[in-house]
Amino acid sequence: MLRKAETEISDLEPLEDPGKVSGFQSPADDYREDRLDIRERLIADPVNTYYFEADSDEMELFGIKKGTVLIVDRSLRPEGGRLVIVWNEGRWLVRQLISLPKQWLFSTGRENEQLVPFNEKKGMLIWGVVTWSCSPQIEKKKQSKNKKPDVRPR
Amino acid sequence: MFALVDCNNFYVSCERLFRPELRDKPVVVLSNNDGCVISRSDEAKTLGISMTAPWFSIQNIVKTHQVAAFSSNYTLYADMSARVMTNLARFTPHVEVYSIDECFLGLNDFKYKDLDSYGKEIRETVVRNTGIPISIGIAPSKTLAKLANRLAKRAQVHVLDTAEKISSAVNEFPVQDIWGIGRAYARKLNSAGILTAGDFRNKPLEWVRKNFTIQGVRLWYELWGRSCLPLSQSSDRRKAVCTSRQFGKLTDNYKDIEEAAAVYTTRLAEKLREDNSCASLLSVRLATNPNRKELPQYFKTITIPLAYPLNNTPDLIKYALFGLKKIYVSGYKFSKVEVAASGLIPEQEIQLNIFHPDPGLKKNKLSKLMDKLNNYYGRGTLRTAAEGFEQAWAMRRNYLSPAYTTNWSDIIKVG
Repeated sequence: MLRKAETEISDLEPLEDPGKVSGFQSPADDYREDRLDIRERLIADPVNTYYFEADSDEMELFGIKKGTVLIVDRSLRPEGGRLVIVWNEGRWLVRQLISLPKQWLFSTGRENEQLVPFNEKKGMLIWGVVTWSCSPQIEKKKQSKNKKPDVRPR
Repeated sequence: MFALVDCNNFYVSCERLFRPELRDKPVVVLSNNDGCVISRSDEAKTLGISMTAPWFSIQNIVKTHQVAAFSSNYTLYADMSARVMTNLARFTPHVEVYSIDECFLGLNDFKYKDLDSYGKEIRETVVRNTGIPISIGIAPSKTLAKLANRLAKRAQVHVLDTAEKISSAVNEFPVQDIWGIGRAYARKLNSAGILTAGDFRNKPLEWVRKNFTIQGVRLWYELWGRSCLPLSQSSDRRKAVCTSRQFGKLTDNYKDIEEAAAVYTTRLAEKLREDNSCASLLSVRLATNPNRKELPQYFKTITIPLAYPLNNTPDLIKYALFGLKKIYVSGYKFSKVEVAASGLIPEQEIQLNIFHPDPGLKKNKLSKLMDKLNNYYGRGTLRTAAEGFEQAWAMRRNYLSPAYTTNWSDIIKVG
């Protein structure tokens, strides 16, 4: 199932409706709109979206480093230039797809690299198309092994 | 026209989606407690592994042919099922989700479409978006759609849209494989010389009326392509809710049984709150394993009327443990405890009890908060102490795959 919005955690939102007033009616009442939710930008199709996490810096030229969360949409078709999740000889990889007239290749974007050709007969598989990558910019505390947010009020 | 969409070897397909190296390997999924085979890949079927084969009985095949085995990961299957069904529902508003891996679609809005290519389009979309292979049977009635689906396995989409196609399909189709024909019915039909669906359909309607119930008559019509079973969309509010599971091993330890009862009651209370219903009766059942004939047997159920209908976890646990204490006797090896709620009443329609003025409103609030936290952080994060910490009685799930789509720490790492 899709995860409930983070904002539903009652620790962070102790007021059910912060706009509800007991005294003067709020002059802003008619102008209230829903607060921005990052999911609206990141996820076009929640039903067909899956998440992966980068485990290396192989794709750092694309801004993907160890710890980057990759948003993957299976409903999109793989096309040249797109980043894709690849199953290759027992390993999961994220690579850029390069489309030549008769061949698909996988690249890390580095110069002079050996491009890996897509070969279905070898059991290779394109699993899905990466739509966004999200990298943490605040160093994670060492103890927080489970990647769940700390919701205690500060 | 109706379509019946069926996910091929659904549980196995879910496991394979995240383990592509198993795509052409024999794979089985085991029932709760790793008891027996409940889903198998075609390769496993070829090896002679039957459905419901006990796990211990296939050890030799498993070792010789390196069959991959999984404990059932219902968290994963439920999520993948929801994804498949939602993708299907995008094609038509007329949907009946029939089971975790089957779905009827009403295709009357598409009378002028080429149903074969439309079926293929549905199939391609679902397979691309979810990675779960499906097969589709399309026909003028649900019974025939189900039958067409059985014929679809290889071609993936099978359409019965003309009288000729339907007759040649039903004339080959064994009567016992028709949807809704139970074993007893099949025997009755076979002894009357009816071996195929075609044989049944060729009997005069009068004969069917005389020998069978209204269901038989409906079936007869359905096989002639006249739809008698409409799509049923909303399932009715549950009449009763029950949670139970076999213990991982037989136990006579009261503390273990008590913990298990508390855990099942917690899950039961969650189910009740999902449905917005309250229970007015709570039953607890304790049982030994009837297959272990050499051990002394004991089965006992107690039903407790609740002071007022409720669905909060602490109170339900209190009553369940009270009941358990009443029926527990030492000296038996128990295999199962079952907690069931009945007399369900919608939350808004509760009448208060004059002798119990506090209907547990505070505890209801607490329970709802627990639901929220457990929904977000994963089931069991916040629990009552009665549920225990070690849970030595917990069911065996030795081959459980990660919760790839429902737990952040289980998402796949890529290089």
